[in-house]
Amino acid sequence: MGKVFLINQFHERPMMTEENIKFIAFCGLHCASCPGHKGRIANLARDLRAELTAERIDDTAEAMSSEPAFEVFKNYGEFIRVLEMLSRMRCDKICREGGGNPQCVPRLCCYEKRIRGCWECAEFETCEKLDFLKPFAGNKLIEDLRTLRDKGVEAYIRGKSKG
Amino acid sequence: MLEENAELIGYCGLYCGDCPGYKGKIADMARDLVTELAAERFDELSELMSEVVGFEALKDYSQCVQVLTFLEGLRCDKTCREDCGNPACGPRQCCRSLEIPGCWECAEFETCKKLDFLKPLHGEILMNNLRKLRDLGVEDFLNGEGVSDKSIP
Repeated sequence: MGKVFLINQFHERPMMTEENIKFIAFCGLHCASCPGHKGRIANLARDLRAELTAERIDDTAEAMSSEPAFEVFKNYGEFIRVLEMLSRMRCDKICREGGGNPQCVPRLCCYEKRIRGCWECAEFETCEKLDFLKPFAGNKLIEDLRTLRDKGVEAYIRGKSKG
Repeated sequence: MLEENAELIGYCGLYCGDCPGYKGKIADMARDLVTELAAERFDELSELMSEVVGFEALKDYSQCVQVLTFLEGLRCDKTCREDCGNPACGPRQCCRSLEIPGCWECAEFETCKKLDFLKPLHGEILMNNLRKLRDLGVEDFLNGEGVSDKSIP
């Protein structure tokens, strides 16, 4: 898949290879930093969900919630819905290997333009195709794309490790 | 071993060794999840994500954290006989004043109102345990039907 991206038509950077951008999504998000890729939250949520079932807390939470000390269990239903969502928050593939939504617009656009990511496109600052990601990433998305464009992968990764 | 297990029988007949609070596994798991969510700054992320179709459940993230934090604290460091739980527990105070090891040695337990507050949570288990303890004795109770049936309905 990556073989078509041999030429970086805007900013040739010798340090940017398919190997070192492996975990950088086309949109500039970082798969390696994502809870979905790490899977720790999903594992912990899954195991807690199973333990609550095994201990039959699901069956007793409602009765317990009538006791003042267990009043917080009035929200047990909402808690379980969030816990189950967290337990599903897991990507089995990274973006560059086709993980996530197969119709992801920025990825399809990058394929079409034969660029390695939005940072290689002159229009990313105002591109509406990236708008749906802004609730997840806020301003950091465009900042990260600027870093990738102007300073390269290493600076981008340094920014990620700082959190 | 039997003596140790006998120490896990509460005055009311519930069995501490069967209780999630005594085992602490749920509390440990909730603690680990709370720690990981904080490390990932998931409170900020969940607020942003909750606006996205498919992630609406995250609007209840704060309630989820409240329950998680509660579960994290659901941990007994002592057994009932070591004064864990409510210091004003009616059955425990009553047994101590009657100088009996538990309600099963009291002729009135079947109709005792002091046990009522435990019934919504523990259902039939409470009376079944007390009857077994009365009829079979502590040793046979402990060797009986397996700890998983002693406290939780």
